Formats: sequence, C-alpha cells, structure tokens
Amino acid sequence: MRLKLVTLLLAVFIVLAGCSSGGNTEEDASANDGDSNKENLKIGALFPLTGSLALLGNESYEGIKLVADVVNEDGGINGKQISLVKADAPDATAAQSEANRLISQEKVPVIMGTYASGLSLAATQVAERNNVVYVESNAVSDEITERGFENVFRITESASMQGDAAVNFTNEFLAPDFGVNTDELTAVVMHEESSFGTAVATEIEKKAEEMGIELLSIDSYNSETNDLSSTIHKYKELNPDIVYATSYINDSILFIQQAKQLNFKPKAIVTTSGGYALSDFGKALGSDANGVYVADAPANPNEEALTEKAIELKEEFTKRWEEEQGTPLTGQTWRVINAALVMFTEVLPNAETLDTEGIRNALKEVDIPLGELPNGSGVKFNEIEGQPGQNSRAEIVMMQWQDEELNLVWPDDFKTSEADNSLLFNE
Amino acid sequence: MILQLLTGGILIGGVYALMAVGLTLIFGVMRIVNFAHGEFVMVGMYLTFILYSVFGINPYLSVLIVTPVMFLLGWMLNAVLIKRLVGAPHVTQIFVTVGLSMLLMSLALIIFGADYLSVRSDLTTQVIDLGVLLGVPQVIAFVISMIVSIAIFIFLKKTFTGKAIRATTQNRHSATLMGVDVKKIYALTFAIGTALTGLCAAILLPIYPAYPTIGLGFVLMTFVVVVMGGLGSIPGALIGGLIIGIIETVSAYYFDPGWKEAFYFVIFILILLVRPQGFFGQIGAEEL
Repeated sequence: MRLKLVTLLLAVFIVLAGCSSGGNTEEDASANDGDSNKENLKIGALFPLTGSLALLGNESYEGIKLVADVVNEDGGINGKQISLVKADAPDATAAQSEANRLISQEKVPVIMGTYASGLSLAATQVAERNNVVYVESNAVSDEITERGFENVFRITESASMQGDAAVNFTNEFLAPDFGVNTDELTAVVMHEESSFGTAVATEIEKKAEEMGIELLSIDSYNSETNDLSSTIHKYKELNPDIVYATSYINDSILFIQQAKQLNFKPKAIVTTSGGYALSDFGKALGSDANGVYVADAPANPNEEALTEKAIELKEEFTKRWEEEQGTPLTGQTWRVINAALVMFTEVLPNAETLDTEGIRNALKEVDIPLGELPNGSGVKFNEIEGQPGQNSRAEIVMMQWQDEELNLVWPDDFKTSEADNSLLFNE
Repeated sequence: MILQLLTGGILIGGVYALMAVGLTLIFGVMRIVNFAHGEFVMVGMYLTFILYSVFGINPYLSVLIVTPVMFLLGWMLNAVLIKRLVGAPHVTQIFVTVGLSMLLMSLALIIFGADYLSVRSDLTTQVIDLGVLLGVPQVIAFVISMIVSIAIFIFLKKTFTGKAIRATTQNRHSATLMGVDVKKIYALTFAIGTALTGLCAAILLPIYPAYPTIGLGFVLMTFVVVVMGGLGSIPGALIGGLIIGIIETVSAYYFDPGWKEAFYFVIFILILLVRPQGFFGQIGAEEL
C-alpha cells in the first residue's frame, strides 16, 4: 500500500510536467480567405502559446503576424499571400510533435520560431531530420546553431554574444567609471539553469577570465523558484563589485525585490535579456528596477546608427504595434520582427525555388549591412567559426532601467541616454 | 548567517504550511488527492488582484472577501464534481483533479493573458532589522498563516464539527455508524480547504505576481509537506512546511540553489521509506 502512494505521487509529477502539452492548432490566414490555397505561401510559426512561457510566446507570434500583415497588404511575396500556420509548443515534447505536424501535414517549406531555447533545440532537430529550413527568431542558446545542422539559421544574437556584451560593457564603461582597472574587479554570476542561462554564464565565465575579472561564485537555480534569499545572503558576504544575472521573468522580479529587501547593493547589476528586459519587470518593481543594466537586442537605437529605410520601417512598425497591441515594442519583439522582415522581404522573394534548397541558398546569400534593419542589425551567415547558421551581424547593446523605462546606454553610437551607476536602489 | 537562513526558511515555510493545511484536510478526510489545489491559489490571487485594481482594496483586507468567496467556490465544486470522486479509483481522481487544474490554468490564460500581474505597495520591500533581516510582507504572511493554522487545529480539537471531521479522517465507516453526516463533512472540508487557498492567495500577492501557472510552483512543495507531516495532520503540515522552508534556504546557501529541489525530494523519499505515515500521521492513514 505504501508503494501505491509513492507511485501515485510519481504519476502526478509526470502528469504535471506534461500537463501543459496541449496542441493548439489554428491556421491564420492573414489575408482574404477567398484566395485559393495555391496563391498562399504557408509558413510555420511555432511558439509556446500556452503554459508558463506563453507571455512572450504570444508576443513573438504577434510580431511575425504583424510583418506578414504588412507584407500581405503590399501584395505579398511575389504575388503570393503569406499564410501563417500557428503551432503551440508549451514544452519540448509538444515542440517536436508540432514541428512534425507542420512538416508532414501542413507541408510548410520553412518554420519560424521559437522564443525558448529548450523548445528550439527540440523543434530544430525535427526540421533537420526532415530537411526543412528552420529560422530561429528569438531563442539564443548557442547550442542551437552549434550542432552542425545545415537547415537551422538564427537571425538574432546568440547567448554567448549577450555574455560577451555584458563583459565588454564592464570593460569599456563600468571599470573606467568606477575608476579601476578591469582586472581589479570582482563579480558573481547567477543564472537560471536551463540552456539559455547556462550558455550566457559559460561565456561570461570565459570572457571574464580573459579580462582578469575575479569571479567569486557561480550559481545556477531553477527559474520557477519561490525564493532567492539564500543566494543573496551569500553574495552579501562575498561583496562583489558586479552581479551578472540571467533569469526569466518570475525569478528576475524575485531577485531584485529580495536584493533590495535584504539590503544587498553591488556597484552594478548587469543582466542579460530574459525577464529583465520585459515591461512586466518594470511594472512589478517600479522604481526598484532603476539602475539595472540589461544586455539585449536593441529597441529604438539612436537613429544616426540607422539607414533611412530602417528608420521608416522602425516608425511604421512601432506605430502599428502600439495601435494593435497597446504595449511598447520591446527588443525581444524587434528580434522577431527583424527575422520576419528578413524572411518575407529578402530571403523568400529572392529564393529561386520555394523549397528547402532554394530557401537555404537564399539564406546563405543574404548580405544586409549593419544599420539596415530597424533595430540597427544586419544579416550575414557563414562568418562565425563553428556556427555557420548564426547571423554575425546581430547587434547587442546595453540598456538600463531609468525612470521606470528601458533606455539604450551603450555602445556610444547607439545610445539614446547616459548610463548612470548611482540609480541602483536609490531611494 | 545560519540564524538569518533559519528565519528566512521559517518565514517561507509558514506559507507552505498554510497551503498544506488545506490540502491535508481534504487529503486526510476525503482521501482525494486534489491536484487543482495550486490552481485554487492562482484563482484566489487573480481575485485579490481584481479587488485591488478595480476597487482599490488592500490585499490584506481583501482576505475578508476572498476567503468566503473561495469557500463558496469550494462548496459548489464539491457539489457538482468532487463529491462524485469519493471512493472512486485513484485514476479517476487524478484525471478529474488534474483536468480541473488544466481547465483553471487555461481559463486564466484566456481571461487574463500570460502577463505577470503584481500589486505594488511600499510594504513590498520593507524590512524589519532585528540583527536578522525580516521582510515585512513575509512576516505578515507568516503570522497570519500561523494564527489560521492554529485556529483550524483548535476547531478540529474542540468543536463538535471538528471532532466529526477527525472521526471521518480516522474511519469514515465508523463515523457514519456513529451518526456523522459524512457527506456534509466532506462538503465542509473541501470548502474549508479551498477557502484556505484564498487566504494564502491574498497574503501572497504582495510577494509574488499572479500568472496562470503560479500554482504549479507551489503545489509540488505542498504535496511534499503534506506527506512529510502525515496525511490529515495539521501539526504535521505546520512542521513539514517549516522543515521544507529551512531545507530550501540552508541547502541553497551552502550548496548550489539549483540543488534545493533535489534536497527536499531526497528527504521526502527517505521519510516515505522510513515512516510512510509521516511525522504525525496515524499508521494506516497513508493507505489511500
């Protein structure tokens, strides 16, 4: 009988772990439904639309849909209307089965996704096995493009590029601002334990070592945690100059809230993307968010860094997004919009054939200089050793929470505001 | 430092304890494993959020509204759904309560979206400094949890209804023979258990944001607490909650925070092996 209870509880954990894996399917004909299917070009859009990642999953989908709408209103891709096929992937198992469905039943020539790295790793595997192009718009784990897959392309930056930016910013701005040499600084690294956090932390560790920053502690944790106070107590004793943190939303709010509460005040908190870059983070923390640095894909860079066409696009999309969604357009959504723009206005119109080979070749040919995309990025593949599918021209910048909003503060040619270390936990 | 960790663990453990008290009552009395317990907390949090954002009611005051509303919800759910599960095979119970949990999560996602809704007040980051730092919202949550848990304990010990509930926990057939209206006791127990989640929700909202899947993070912990303390035992739930809280903070400090789940699950398994009825459970109560 006692076994029964154990079995029962085990069954529950398994059920709970898998319970969010419902498959939502819905075809979203973005244009006139009257068109026959031949005139439509089906594109798979795979995101976590339900479950714990749903917030940004849905926002990502809306980003792609906005670009598809705009392109369709302008006549589509070489006369074909884009029809997005929506796939819901709340967990890795669902990501695989939905990728399978998009390929075998919907017969899409290209899938776009995925927001979360764990889901992307699962879905891209299916695409590669079935020889279908997968374009990653906003999951950043390096592993996605490190596996030597020839059909997987990522238009946004990789996690290691984020980690890189965090340490470069420390070297170029923080150290001089503190009035010390970079190799005199001490730091701790706190990261959530999934593929995303681990990849960022690994890069920070490597890069910090090169620069001579002393790392006092590296801590991983589960992003669903209810409490981070123990880690904060530990950091209080270690007293580092800088905390590097990578988190999802729930834990990012918890960390800053508890750090403030427990009176832990390092000289700077340098975070990378994830929860720290979200408007919900600012809303939840109010003025306590001020001063936190976030390395992220740029949103609203200084217009001097952009070409005229990019400024136009930036204004058009910002306006339409705010009209339709009623929220500000964040760096995270810009990633998706960029990816969709590249696919719908550069890659697909120029592909000789709309099959895997044609699209793959068109992707390899893309050559968009820096500053041509509305967030200041460009696109070029095949330039990074070991990661041919990674866009080497994805920009990554440093933002800071100031007056309860995110402002771009580094590098100098992108910045719209000045970085200020005194803002952190300032009453 | 160890003192700071212990107090931190006790504070967070108090909240786990209150959640566990509701679950252990339902578990112990009805022999139903309620997997939707965490989602009731989520529903309560959204309710508290609405009261706060629409009517401007302080979350701590809204306890007085949310708790009775959740009591009624529990009563109604029992009438239409849960009472049919008493004595049903485990698989049926799992399907129904897990299904209910998914239904509530999806409804929340449809109605409120996946946004993180939080209530901000000046209290949120206030601390009391007694050599160890105590967060004000955590202290309030802890104090309310303890008062309510003890009140429930006294209710079970001293009142006639309380005794009837305990009798049903010990042996539902004998209780029926002694003239206890078991069906009514079931309804009452389920409603009380649900009302407690409402109470938890209101005192948690100043600490954690509300979002559709927040229940999942709490419910696993609550199950561990309940089994550790003994099914149906209120003191067990209290002590179990505090122990889990302390294990969490201490192991996260001395080892990697990523290991804390591993720690309490190992302890959970050990307890199941050595003392399957939990600390305070009566022998045989673990037999569902």
